[in-house]
Amino acid sequence: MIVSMRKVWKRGDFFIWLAGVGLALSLIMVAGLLLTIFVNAATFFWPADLLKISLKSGDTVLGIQTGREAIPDPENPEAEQKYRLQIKRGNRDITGADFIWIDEEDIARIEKAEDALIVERREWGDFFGTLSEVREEGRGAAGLRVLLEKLEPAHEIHSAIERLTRKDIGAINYKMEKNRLAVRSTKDEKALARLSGERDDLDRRYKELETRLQALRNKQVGEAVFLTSDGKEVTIPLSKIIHVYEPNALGMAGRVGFFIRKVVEFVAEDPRESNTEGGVFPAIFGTVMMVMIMSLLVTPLGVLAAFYLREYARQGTMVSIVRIAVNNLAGVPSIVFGVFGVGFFIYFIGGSIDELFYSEKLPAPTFGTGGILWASLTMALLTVPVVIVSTEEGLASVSGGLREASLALGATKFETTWRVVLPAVMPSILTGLILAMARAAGEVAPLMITGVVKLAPALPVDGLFPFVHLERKFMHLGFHIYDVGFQSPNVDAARPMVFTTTLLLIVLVIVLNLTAIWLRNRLKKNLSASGV
Amino acid sequence: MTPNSTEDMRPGSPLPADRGISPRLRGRLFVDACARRGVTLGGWCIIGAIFAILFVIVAEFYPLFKTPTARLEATFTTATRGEVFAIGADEYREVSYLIDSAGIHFYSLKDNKPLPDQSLNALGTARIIGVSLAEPRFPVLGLSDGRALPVRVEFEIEYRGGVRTIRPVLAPEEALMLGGPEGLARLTHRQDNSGYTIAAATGPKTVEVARVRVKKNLMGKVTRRESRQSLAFPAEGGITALALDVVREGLLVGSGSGQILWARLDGEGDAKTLGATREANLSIAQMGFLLGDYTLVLTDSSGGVSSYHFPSSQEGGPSVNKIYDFEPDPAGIGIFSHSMRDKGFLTGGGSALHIHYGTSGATQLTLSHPEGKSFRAAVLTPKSDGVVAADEAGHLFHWTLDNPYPEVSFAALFGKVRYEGYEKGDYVWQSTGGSDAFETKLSLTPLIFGTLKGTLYALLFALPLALCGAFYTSQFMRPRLKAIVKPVLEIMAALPSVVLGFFAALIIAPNVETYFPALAVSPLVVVMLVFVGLGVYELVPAVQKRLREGNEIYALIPLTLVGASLAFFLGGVVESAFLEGDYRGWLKEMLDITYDQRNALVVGLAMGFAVIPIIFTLSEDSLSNVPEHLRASSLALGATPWQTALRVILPTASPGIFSAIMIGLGRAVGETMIVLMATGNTPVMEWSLFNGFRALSANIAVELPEAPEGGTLFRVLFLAAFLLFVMTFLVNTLAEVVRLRLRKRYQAQ
Repeated sequence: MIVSMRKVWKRGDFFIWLAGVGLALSLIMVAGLLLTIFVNAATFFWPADLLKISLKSGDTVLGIQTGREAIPDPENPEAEQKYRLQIKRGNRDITGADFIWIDEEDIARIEKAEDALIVERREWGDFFGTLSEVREEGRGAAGLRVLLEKLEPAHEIHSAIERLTRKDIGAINYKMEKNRLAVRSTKDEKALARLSGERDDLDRRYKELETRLQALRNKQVGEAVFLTSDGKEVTIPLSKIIHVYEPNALGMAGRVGFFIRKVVEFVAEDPRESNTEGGVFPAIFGTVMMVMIMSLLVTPLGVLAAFYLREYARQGTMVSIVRIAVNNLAGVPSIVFGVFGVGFFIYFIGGSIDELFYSEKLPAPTFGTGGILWASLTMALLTVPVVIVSTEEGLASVSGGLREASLALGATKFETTWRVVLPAVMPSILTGLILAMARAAGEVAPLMITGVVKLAPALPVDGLFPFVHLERKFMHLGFHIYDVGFQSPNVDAARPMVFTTTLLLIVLVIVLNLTAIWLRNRLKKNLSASGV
Repeated sequence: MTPNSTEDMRPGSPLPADRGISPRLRGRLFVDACARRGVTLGGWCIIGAIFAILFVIVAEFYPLFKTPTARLEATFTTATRGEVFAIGADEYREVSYLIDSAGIHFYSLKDNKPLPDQSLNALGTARIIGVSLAEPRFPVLGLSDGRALPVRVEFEIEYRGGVRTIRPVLAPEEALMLGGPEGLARLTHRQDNSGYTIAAATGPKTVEVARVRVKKNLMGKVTRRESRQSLAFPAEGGITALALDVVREGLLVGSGSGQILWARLDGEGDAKTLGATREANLSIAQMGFLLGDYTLVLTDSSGGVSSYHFPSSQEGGPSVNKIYDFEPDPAGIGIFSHSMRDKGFLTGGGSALHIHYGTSGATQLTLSHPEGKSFRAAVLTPKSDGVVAADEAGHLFHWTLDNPYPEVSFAALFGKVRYEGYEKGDYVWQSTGGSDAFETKLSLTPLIFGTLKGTLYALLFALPLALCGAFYTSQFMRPRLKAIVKPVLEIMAALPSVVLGFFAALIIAPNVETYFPALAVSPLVVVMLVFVGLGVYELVPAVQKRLREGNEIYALIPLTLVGASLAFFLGGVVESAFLEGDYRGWLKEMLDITYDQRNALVVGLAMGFAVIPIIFTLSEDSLSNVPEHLRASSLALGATPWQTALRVILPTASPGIFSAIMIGLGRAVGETMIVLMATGNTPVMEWSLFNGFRALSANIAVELPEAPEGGTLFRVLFLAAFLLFVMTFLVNTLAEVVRLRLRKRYQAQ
């Protein structure tokens, strides 16, 4: 036995196993992180049971259990461990706090609440309670079905109002602002007269829309009366209700439907209640648009630089130094690029553009402040080494024979590069581009200082001339995580939002990376198959 | 197509320099030449753009270190009638006023000529023999008949057709009879919201203090109340300088023998001696506070200038602490004027004026009289962007100062600075404060420290895991498993840092706080378990048969998980048995360490996520790339795989591993979001594992959006970015050079 242990020692098995533990731990860490985020995010979309909690004091609480933790008791370490439940009880407007902790020993009974409803509202978060009646112009009616029927026209009116305020009135405001700036920048009498006419026209149309808006608002008369768990009557106008459902009565199909509805809402809708509810559509849009602009810039630039370094430059010390510098640039902290973006793009270039073209708006900056164009440019600079390195690797693996064959057939160098070398390195370029996109999608620090905001008033693309507004600030998924998770006034309410946004971002980045890995592997196989 | 460019073609080009080429070929060649030029130009542009980053950053912070300069704008002769006592200027440096024994005269600094005189009827037959200019635009004149005459100098600004005109207006207030027929030569005053206080030396050891309260009621009626107090000071050699201490309602007096005395303004208690000049019997010439009424500046008869801190709340009465001696002027100092924006001040005497900075103790600039004559009065303009001075011959001088960042110097950014309110010199980062008199404290040292601390703890955690993992994967793992493991870790490298930061702050931090003892015992538990597991493996043949070499990871993952859960259990046991059931209380009690929830430990763990995959991938590559013949010969000579890996492969690949560590280090240094989210961002300088820090990168991310363009903070943040750039660039270059050398060595073998 002792002999065998010594042999084992000499074989180093113990250390091999220990080294393996290092790997095991790393793998467990990755899996743990992904699992935690996935579980936390997915459960958010799944409808939870609404519980009726009777306390020993005689009170009842209606809510959803969101957590359970041990109560720390440093005074008596020997005592039996006690636990408490975190309950989301909603009704923020009535109770003040929508999350409470209840000690388990204070609870007499927990049961599924009968015919209790969850009302998703446009303001104040969810309402939990039971329906009393639905009122419209003095007439009352009872029943959930009535409420759901009445909700439909209420939603239509609401979306009509939204369309009117956002699109039509927004467009008029935009034109008025343009008009005002035009008046400021011109001295020509004729032009002024024309502008003043335009202005009157806009004013008139504004008044018109306002009357229409008022007419729509007057139609919003229905309201629903609910009872809270302690019997208080609460009246909620139908126009403020997004959705009403009875979670405990939902069957499997109902739950799946709810899940899908929630996912769609998350992806396609605007955020509400300081980003803690609703969706993240503007953040997705901003992220995708920023990555797109960046890709448009980074691909030609990176490919050009790589072709220069590999195909055109005379190989020597200078090129080696440049290559080392490019490699190193990939290791320069992202925040440094952000600082460069602020100093060069925003204040130098943006400031100059403002002085030349937008002087009538000064001192309010147009391009002289953070915006999606500057953020994309900064990101392009940040990711250009990725594309250069990847393209160069691809160029190195294109065999010299291929080029020589092309040249021997009489093609010029440009024709060889364009028709022979470029198609051969296309997968490498694509790999580099995808990696660059993944990097840009996940990077936050440089964006924080070059144009990302927590809530952008308008998307960078809309129906108003010139349609694409590159100077606008935008929202970004990564920054959304930082902002909602860390700057939110209601941390508990924001939690599910952070997890789901994180999941979305991770999925995006991982899919991009897996595509790059797959592409790279296929490329390797192709190369080895062709025998070059 | 010129013949020149055809000849220029490379030897590999298939086309001879033929003049009889077809138009089509000509076109193709033209396109080719254009493409060559285009690509070359484009390549250089991009490379240039990359290097422009460094240039732009340097250009933004360079102005911080420019030496201050002064430009003499104008000098012109005034018609002063007698001695000059004081001089002042308006905010825009357009109008200057000069106080001589006959009255107050105005001069336009724009046209360099006198403005119409405004009579000062209150003067009567008396002459001015002393002036206090302790409040700008509100001088108090000491008259030869013993009266003190407060005068408001107002500048009315008018805009007509976009042109600014400034019209000075004199508004004398009621004179106060303070002294006897010998007149008031030495006096000082201060004003506040409710009125003003004037103190004047009436004898060699006595001071008369008048407090004037002016109240305006709702109807606009003004009531004026005056109270008087006589104070006696044991001043040897007579009273030579006065300064009002508004914070404590006291009066500071300097004597002819160098004493610094203090007494309460209400006359309660005796005068106290707080200190003395550097040598006895040096008479105190001038005395005044810098902006904020905390730092007192004394000048003495031999030309010495020194600053004292005057802590505003201290038990056992007021006291002064000597801070700096500034560059002396042997001609003696008779002029003192402090900046209204920062801790700068101006002193002068003889033919030179000096501009000092109170916090750094530096004398930044000296202005000399072009003809060597003596200056009689000088003032720093309200925006601290100029100096106006008058000399004995009645000439007026006007300089423009270029000193936008007086508080920044190499020593202030990296060394210890004794700020107001600090017991000793310290490294402080505090960029915003509540009041106007707040002084920004921009020491980069605590931020650099924070960056290094975060990096250190991240590497402490990541290095063992990453290197062990890479070593195992490259040497002992089956290739099929390896093909799965490597992409998984690449995915880990791709995780956005904002996700890691969020995970650290919301998941890791509270859990580490709860289960810290478990975390602390877990390495031990896991090692023991591995030992036990190995014993089982060796002794039970069935296990040996199922778990073939290279597949250990299948056993190790469950083993580690079991170890972790065992550690959770043991952690609780350890905590209740040895740490009194509450490790935080125990830490506080036994080691005096406070536990912050977001601390260096959490950052270390989270940054591990970011650094492990980098170090793992790169060192695994270099371990796998060791030439196969080395391993084969070692094994052939009878060494076990473990011995081969440890003694042959590891030393050969060590430069590659070193370069992997360097690149990992570079990543940790520049990491922003994790540090920003997982630490409290407090700029403290302690190595403790349990408290937070503020790193350079996170600091930039937090403060740059708030910093006004071109301001001191803005430029200092660019300097911080430059430091980060340099740090990572050096580390990465080192790694790259080592890697290139290693590659050459492999190729040689």
